[in-house]
Amino acid sequence: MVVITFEKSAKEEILYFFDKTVDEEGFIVEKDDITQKVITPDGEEVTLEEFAGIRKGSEIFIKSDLPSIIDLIDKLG
Amino acid sequence: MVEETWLGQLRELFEAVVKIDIRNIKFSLINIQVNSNNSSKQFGYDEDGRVDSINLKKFSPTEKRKIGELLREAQNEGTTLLLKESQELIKDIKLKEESSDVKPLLEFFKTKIPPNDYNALRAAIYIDKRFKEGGKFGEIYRLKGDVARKYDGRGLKICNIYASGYFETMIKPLYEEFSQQGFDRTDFINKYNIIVNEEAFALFVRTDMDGAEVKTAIKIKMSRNLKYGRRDVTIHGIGRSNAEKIRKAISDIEDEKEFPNFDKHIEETGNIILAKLSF
Repeated sequence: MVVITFEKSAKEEILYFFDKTVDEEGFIVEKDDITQKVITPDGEEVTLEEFAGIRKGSEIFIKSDLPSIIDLIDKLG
Repeated sequence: MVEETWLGQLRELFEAVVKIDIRNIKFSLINIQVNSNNSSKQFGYDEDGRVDSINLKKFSPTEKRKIGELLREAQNEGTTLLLKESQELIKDIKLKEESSDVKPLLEFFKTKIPPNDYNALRAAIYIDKRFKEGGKFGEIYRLKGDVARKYDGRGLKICNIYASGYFETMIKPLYEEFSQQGFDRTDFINKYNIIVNEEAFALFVRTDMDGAEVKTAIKIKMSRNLKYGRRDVTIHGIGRSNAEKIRKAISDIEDEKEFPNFDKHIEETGNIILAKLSF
């Protein structure tokens, strides 16, 4: 399977492709409804700075902190 | 390796955009990186001449929209889109977890402690290794902050317990001791939780401490706890020799009558001693 990585500089473009944008507080929100913040499976909101990717399964947002990346290792197998 | 559908469409898009014969465009089947910067290149190649990076800034809005659709399709088909730095972090974590000094410990604890604690232990191991490699204060502080945010104070306690070596010298032997006694996992977890919850105010007696050192360590802990508003200390020890030293030290301290309200509660289970002093 191909792995698609992206640089920090491409974050907002990637989010745009997935119909997301960033609100005034820096949280990632739905483009059509900026009051709706995206959340991780743990129910956490995600800021642009924390955003580290999107996993399969609807849209599962990944955060860049150490515990989230450790969780991701198990999910990716 | 079979090429995914979206990747085939990406190749066709490139043929249309850059006007190169599609047979000459090969994509990396390992990694494609998406950039958006001011470099002049539309895409980059790996050492085998395969396209392995795309610079979104160099494509028109229509072309970008098409690339975006293909990325969504890729994600829908199971590809994970991941920040490059996070991919590097994954590689580093895996490398460290495979090292001979931690892999056995991780395997040992995998199903023995609560899942969140296990992941906090993994984080603790990574942080400890980064620290020993010379990781800067800012990085270590940030990583510990990540642990605190995810696992609250308990996660930080696990980091401290690991860094002090107590997973190997106290908790693992504790489990092994319980295993020999007609094992009830609840008993182990109860003792384990005491170790974790009381970490900051507890003393773990090591085999290399002599009697005098044990007594001094207990008194220092008592003073320190008192300074921070706690009038109690928990002392852990494994092995008959450590148990004797602890009992003797407690008895000596009691005889000194320095603390009028001194009280002790000692539990011994096999070779495990847990003493709670209040003062």
